[in-house]
Amino acid sequence: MKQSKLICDYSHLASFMLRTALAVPFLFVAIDATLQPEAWVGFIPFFLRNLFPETLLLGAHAVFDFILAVWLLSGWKIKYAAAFSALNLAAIIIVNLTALDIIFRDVGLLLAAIALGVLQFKK
Amino acid sequence: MSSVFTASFITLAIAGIADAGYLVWKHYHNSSKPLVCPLDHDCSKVTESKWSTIFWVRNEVLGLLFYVSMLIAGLASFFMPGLILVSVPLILLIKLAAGAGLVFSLFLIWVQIYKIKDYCFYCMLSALITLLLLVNSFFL
Repeated sequence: MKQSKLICDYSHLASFMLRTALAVPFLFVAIDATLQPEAWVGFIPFFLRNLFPETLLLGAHAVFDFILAVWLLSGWKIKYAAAFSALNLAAIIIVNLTALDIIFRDVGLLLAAIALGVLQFKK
Repeated sequence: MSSVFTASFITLAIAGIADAGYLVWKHYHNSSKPLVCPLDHDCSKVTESKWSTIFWVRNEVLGLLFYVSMLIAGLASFFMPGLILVSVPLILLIKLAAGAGLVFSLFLIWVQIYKIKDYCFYCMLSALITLLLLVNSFFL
């Protein structure tokens, strides 16, 4: 009984920390990709760059990351925000596997997104 | 100037806007329901205390104005480097404003500890964001 109370009390804090942990990098990427796109364009896969202009792809992803960050911070329907975050991060990891020395941190973020989804699943 | 630190400065300002904005929204538009505190704590003892206003303006409104001005200043420092306002370089103004914000946050923490004898999670978070803004301002 005491243990379940403890879990109940700290689940809000855990959810808040996970939401913040995901939202802050998404916000940073959205802003930094807008301010200095040349530092981020290398993470867009070549097959997409051949189909669409780089600035369009980068801008669209920055907007998507910004919306995800705001959604995560808002606390509204978090399990869906966590699912979109996990899919976003999984896509980034898969298309940038050759740069694993840089994107290995995204694996941690992906697991954080999954943890957030699990935490919110029955809510 | 490093654009990475400008991006982190703007990220912190937006986080501050979210924090203060939530408190403003709860007070003016959704005051019937209690604040959702991640620590399951009743923040209203602090947010609705007699210390919740200074010069007839609510602290969260002041905080929101502070973070919005930091966001605008961060964007201006990137797009208009070397901007001088009333004979003072913008970067120096940002440092002074962030320093003043931190002093005010420390005062509010003192009020929470010694006067109200309770705490508010969002107020503590705001103080942390202001501290990080001040540290970040030295790298702009």
